[in-house]
Amino acid sequence: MNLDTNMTWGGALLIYVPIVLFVVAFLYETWLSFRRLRPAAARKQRSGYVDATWEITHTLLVFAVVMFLMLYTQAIDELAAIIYWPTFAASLALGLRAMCYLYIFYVRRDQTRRGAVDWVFALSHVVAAALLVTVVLQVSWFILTSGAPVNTQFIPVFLPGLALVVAVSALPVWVLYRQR
Amino acid sequence: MEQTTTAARVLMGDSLGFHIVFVMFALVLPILILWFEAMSIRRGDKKLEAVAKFWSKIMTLLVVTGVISGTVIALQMSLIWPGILKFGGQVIGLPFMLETYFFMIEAVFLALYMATWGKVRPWLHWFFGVMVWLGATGSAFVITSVNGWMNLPTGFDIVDGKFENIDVLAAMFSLPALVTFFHSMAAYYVAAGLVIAGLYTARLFWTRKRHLDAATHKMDYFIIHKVMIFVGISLIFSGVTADLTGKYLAKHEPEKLATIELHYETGTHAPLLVGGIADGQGGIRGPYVEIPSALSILSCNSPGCTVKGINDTPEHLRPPEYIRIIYLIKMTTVMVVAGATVLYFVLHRWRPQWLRNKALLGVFAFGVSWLGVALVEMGWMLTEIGRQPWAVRGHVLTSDAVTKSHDVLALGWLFPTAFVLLFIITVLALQQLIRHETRLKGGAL
Repeated sequence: MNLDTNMTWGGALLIYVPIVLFVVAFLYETWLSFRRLRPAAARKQRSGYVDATWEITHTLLVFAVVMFLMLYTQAIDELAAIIYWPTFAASLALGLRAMCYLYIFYVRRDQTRRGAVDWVFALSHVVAAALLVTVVLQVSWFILTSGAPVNTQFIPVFLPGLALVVAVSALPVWVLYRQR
Repeated sequence: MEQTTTAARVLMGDSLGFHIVFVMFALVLPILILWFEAMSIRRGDKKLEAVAKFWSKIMTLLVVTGVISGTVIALQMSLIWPGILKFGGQVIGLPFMLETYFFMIEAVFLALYMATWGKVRPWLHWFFGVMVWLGATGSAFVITSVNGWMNLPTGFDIVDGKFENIDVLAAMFSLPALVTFFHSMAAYYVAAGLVIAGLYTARLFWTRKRHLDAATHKMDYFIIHKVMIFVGISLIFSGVTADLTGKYLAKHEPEKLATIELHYETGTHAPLLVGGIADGQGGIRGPYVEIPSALSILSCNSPGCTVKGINDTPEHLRPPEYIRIIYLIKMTTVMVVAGATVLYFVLHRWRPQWLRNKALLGVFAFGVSWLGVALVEMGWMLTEIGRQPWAVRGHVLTSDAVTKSHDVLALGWLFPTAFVLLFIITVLALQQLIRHETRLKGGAL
């Protein structure tokens, strides 16, 4: 089944399933980053944020971006020009977030302290999220309106692959939370 | 446009140069951690378990930085170099896509591995670590295969300007992909191993001389020795794969080998030059020694073998001559690293007390341990700069592959700045982790 353009549903799943999962995970991080700013939360909880292994959620973003670009290799220069600024700004915001993260949770000794870096940390989530949403909207508009040729050759391989990866990932996650 | 191309190359070079440091630790730490964990399970040794656990914390921290730089590179690769994927996406898209799967497996199992220390059966926990290694190594292979394909594009025919007979597996498992993968893996093992041994050596260097033989440092010597065995084996493997790389270059990328080896005229009995750089006019500058027929022998095991010279390649399609300088620095560094490794084993066997000598400890910790990382960086510089002016050799010029947007010039400087800051913060974070471990009762340090 095709969308209005020649984008297939399989291709759309490859792009949007990881994006939706990433957005959920990132919104959770954003919420935590603001919640930990409250003075009461600072006193009660030493970090009040997810631990470093939560960074695995970024793999979902990379997954979606790579899938998208591989599906649209023939229109990639046109696309690159469209999403260049918000994507680069988003990656800078993610870089800023990573720096704040390392400083707050690894370098700073007093974990109950809250200051300017914590605000920058929280705001970097909002900026990155806003920019990434912009990219997703631009990409969606492009998919719907451009009529660019879609490279569908890998979809039959990668769609079952996506299910397999979700299953492989779900098993350890299930064990992880069972242990906790 | 030339300015944009240069800016894009500098930006990509900076990003990859930064990211590769974290990649090598992501590839090597799982092996060492699994080794120490396996020893701890078999011997029931809690101290060894603490060592494995400590390094797994370091690995997690490095993954945080590596994930971010990796994400940035994934975006840069597509946005700055659309010409590469536009040309070869149908052929080489598979490894790009597979990389994301391997990346996911690595990340998910790392999370699981960290969360289940002491909570599941030891060998099951160890198995989670194996999956981390598998994810990291698989990811490295597929990405290296893309690079190999850029050096020697295979797996397709071009008929009337269109792709025909596309074989994605042939493209992914091409000869350069395999040669580069094995050589780079060996180099990563040497580099990260030396850094780890160097950190323990630095710890011994800062210890008072009379305390060097104390029981608290017994584990330091033990770890240094194990890691140096790992480095030694990797170094031998690296030598073998370097020889294969040379033979591959002679056959498939002769202009790169000729520029690196400063070999101008095609012919048999090609000599190997030790020293000397290009003078820019087809000659050699500086002192050098010529070893007769050695380049022919190294290229194809026979003095009568023909080695192609630089002059066979049109001037505008030759790699820049300065890669010869990078190569000479690299080979000198290889000698120092190999010499230091051999010296370590000689001293360990016949003069073990010398390994407690402060001067030697200092030279290794601060002078030698980081040289492996420099080797990896120089190796990739030779590979990438040596392919110029091509992005996809023989098909897409770098100047054609780059984005048509001039925004690279406007934004480019921000990324190296961010990487420098990120690097400083990562080092500070590592310092804090180490301090914390030193204070921890029953810790690894």
